[in-house]
Amino acid sequence: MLKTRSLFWNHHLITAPEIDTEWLWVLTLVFMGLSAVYLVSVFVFRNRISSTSEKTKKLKKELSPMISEFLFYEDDVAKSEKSHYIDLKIQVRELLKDRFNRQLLTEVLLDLKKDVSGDTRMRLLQLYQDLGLHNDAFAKLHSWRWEVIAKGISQLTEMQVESAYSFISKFINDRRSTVRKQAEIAIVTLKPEGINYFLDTTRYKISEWQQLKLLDVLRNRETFDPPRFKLWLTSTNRHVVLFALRLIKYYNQNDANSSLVELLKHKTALIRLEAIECIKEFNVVEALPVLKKVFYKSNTDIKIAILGTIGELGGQADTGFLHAVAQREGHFSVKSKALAAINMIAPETVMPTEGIDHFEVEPVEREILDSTYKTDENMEEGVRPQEPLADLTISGKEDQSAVEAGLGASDMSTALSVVTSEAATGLGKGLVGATASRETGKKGQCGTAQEHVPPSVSGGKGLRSVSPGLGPPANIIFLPPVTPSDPSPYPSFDKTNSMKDATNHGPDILNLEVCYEEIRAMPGRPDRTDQPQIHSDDIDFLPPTAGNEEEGKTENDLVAQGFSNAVDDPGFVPGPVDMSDGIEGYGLSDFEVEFVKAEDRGPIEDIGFELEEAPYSVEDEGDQDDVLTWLLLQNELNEIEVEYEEVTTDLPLDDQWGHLIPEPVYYDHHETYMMGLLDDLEEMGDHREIPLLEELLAAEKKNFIKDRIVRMIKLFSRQHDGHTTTKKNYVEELNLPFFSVFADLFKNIDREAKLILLDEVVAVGDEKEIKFLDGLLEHPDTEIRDKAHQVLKLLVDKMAREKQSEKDKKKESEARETKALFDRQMAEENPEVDYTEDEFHQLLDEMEIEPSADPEVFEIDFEPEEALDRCHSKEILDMPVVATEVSHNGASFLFQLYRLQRNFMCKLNG
Amino acid sequence: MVRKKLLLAEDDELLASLLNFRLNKGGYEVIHSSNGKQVKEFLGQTMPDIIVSDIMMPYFSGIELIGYVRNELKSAVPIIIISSAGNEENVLNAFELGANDFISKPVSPSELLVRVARELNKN
Repeated sequence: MLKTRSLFWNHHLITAPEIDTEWLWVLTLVFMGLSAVYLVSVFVFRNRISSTSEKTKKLKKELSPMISEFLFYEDDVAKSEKSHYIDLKIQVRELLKDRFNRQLLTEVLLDLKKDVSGDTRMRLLQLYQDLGLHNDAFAKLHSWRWEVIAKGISQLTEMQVESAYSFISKFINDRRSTVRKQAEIAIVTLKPEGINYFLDTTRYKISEWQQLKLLDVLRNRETFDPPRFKLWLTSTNRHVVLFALRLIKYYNQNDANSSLVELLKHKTALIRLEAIECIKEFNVVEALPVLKKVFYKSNTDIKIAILGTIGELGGQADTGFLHAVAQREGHFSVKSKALAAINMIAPETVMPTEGIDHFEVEPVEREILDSTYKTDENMEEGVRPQEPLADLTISGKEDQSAVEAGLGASDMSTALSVVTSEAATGLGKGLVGATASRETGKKGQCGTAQEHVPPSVSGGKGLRSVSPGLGPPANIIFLPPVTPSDPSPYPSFDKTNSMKDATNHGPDILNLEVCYEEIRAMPGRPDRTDQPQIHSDDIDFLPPTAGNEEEGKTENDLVAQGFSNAVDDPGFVPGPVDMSDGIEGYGLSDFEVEFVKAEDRGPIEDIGFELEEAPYSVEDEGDQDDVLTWLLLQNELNEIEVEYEEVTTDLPLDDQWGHLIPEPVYYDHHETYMMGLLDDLEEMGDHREIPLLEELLAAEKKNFIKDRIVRMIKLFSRQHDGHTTTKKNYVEELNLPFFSVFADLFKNIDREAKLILLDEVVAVGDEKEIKFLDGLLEHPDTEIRDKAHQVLKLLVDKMAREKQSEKDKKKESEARETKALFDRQMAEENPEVDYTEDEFHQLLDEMEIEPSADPEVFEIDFEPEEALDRCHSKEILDMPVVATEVSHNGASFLFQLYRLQRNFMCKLNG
Repeated sequence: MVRKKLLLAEDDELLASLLNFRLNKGGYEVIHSSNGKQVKEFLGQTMPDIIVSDIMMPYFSGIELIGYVRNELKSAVPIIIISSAGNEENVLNAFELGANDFISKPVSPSELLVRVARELNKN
């Protein structure tokens, strides 16, 4: 019960405010009055709007036949019509005396102007001026309001009042953008020479939208003879320059090439970009050196534009620059554009490299090919199937489906032979074309050949070649061109021959120096030791087959032409490979062979075999698993004198480089776990991990882990100490002023709560709050200001009392100490004498020591008292709550409503 | 001389008034309707010699009007449609449904007069 009461006593501040009924009635009446005013005004305004609308509608109905009469009046009409026309004129003149009617008629004419064309429109424009409506528009130009001026200009422009040109032209540099823009359009619309005046005089920015609108005006002008816009390329207003460039491009004025080239160096990127566009449009080839010059100083957009222009205008000489850009530039778009530009100059110079799949020869395909080639042997010479220089590989799925469909080997072979013979013919043609193109010094010799070679074998019979046709042009460039009438001094090169036919290799070929890079297959690599699995991609390193001299002339031509292109390639290392029997009937020629410069050769991993750590080791020379050895054996080439590229060293490899190669460290399970844990702790932990680390240290046996733990403990300890010290120093250095908790609260609460809070300041505040209350004395709200003033007074009193009390307490304590000292001394001196309190005070007087004012100084109660447990008298607890405590200070809603009127009046009075 | 009846379906009062005046002066008896409903009502009673209709009209568009005349009334009365520029799709629809001619806004009343005369001469 007591607790409940004390609770109520503590929360008396949130009691509902007392309502003053007198004010309530006043407010009710005020609100009723306001509602009435509101309703009446809505009614009045609505009626006015609807009546105006009705009036407008009626007047429009009245005016429209008149307008029609005026528009379609012709002089050669009957007398009655003429008199009717004169009557109408008089009627209209009467109507136009009223300003509203004039406005309405203007609106009508403006509306009609949009809907009619031809001679009716011309008559309508004339009527506008005849009726003198343009005078109103002129009057608007003198207004101080920008929207009225803009409306006036717009009206004069719409109704094409040419006489307004000189009046409007003075607004061309108006600082109000709407007026200025309207004037710009008016100037360009009203007279053909307006564009010249505008470009000459405008000092302001011409926005993109404005440029479009102006261009639209110019575009729709009938019989417009555009001026030479190059005259404004020298303007000091860069927006004029930009607009002039756009107009030059639009009107195809290609007589400003030098200026365009000069503008490539302009500071403004947009102008540079527009100049580049013009250069591209007008094929200004002389701009190419400057384009290259400014390229590296430009942003990405301009770079792309420059590359596009070089691609369009450039020649072979510019490809070097483009290649350099493609190599150096980091930005993807620029790089791509550079490559695109190269291809624009020399088509298909740069081939696609991304996402190109490498098709592998599957066993089933191999069987099909095998059977095909066996059939090929029986074919007549000259019709021998010939695939392109690159391999003929077969798409797995289609081929598979063909096999599954039950196509016999003979069918397949027939299909393939037909297709391949076609390919051969095509290739032959292609290469002839290539020869011709090479001889005439044109670019892209083999590009032509590639275009002639059917890129794929038709899938009609279930077979599809995915060979891209010829390989890169440089790969076969070393062979001279051979014509059918000119027997080749070089051995013929049969790509499609089976190995059985490839026995007659010439001795010259065999004596060629061969430079092999030795590789060794990893042990455990599959499977068939005698016939390892080799994919066409895996033997890129192998040189081409050279052999049969008895090949058809066409083949010779093809190969010779191809190889002749590669003669210039000094890095090429040819290798004669004579193959009597291929892998499962394949010749090496059956695989995709790529001639690569020795120094350009790709990473060794490309070969497809796993390499050992020391690829140059020769210790496994005789290993039968070695693919190369196996291939040589299979093709009876093991007798060929092979020159290995060896790295000869005096010392073993380990001795030479061992000191440079770090020892590998392998962790066991525990070590891995511990190192991971320590990594995590190091990354995310702090001094709180020290106990854990100490535990780990105690349990750990490995020295290197122990070392790391110790290091971490030291690190964390150092960090913690440093942090603590720093924090302490920081706080000390700050020497922060006392901060009032009320100040913070005060910011985030409403007015009512503020006033309540101020009441609480007296109860719980101390000297820290004085400064805060001091600040509130300048608060804009008078209520809060007054309240703060009162509270400040009370608080100062309270603080003064507390200070006094503290002083008293201090004195009491001193007195107590003195008495204790006195008692002790007296007891020591005269233990039998017992001093009373009066005697003690008398003594103090004698000694001129001031005793404590508190009579109960010796009965100090140090027991702390719980506020909630405090016992209050019944009178206090039954005391009625004063409701005005809140409402009085003006925090209630009704009080604020009451104050609203006064505040409103205050605002009105400034 | 009997004047040809021309139904002008146009919701813009000003333009309608202007065209009405011009066509009237050109020798036609013009019946003006400002919305599709009125047009439908009128067509239920009499069939004009020619219809000049705007495509965009309240309640009953010009396209619907063509459909109504051709499919429901089974009439071959010439229909000239008025359409805003850039409304080619509607114009094509109108031709598919059986419109005879079209004229785009802004309209030249003189041109309209010529087109009306031509359509009537065709028939």
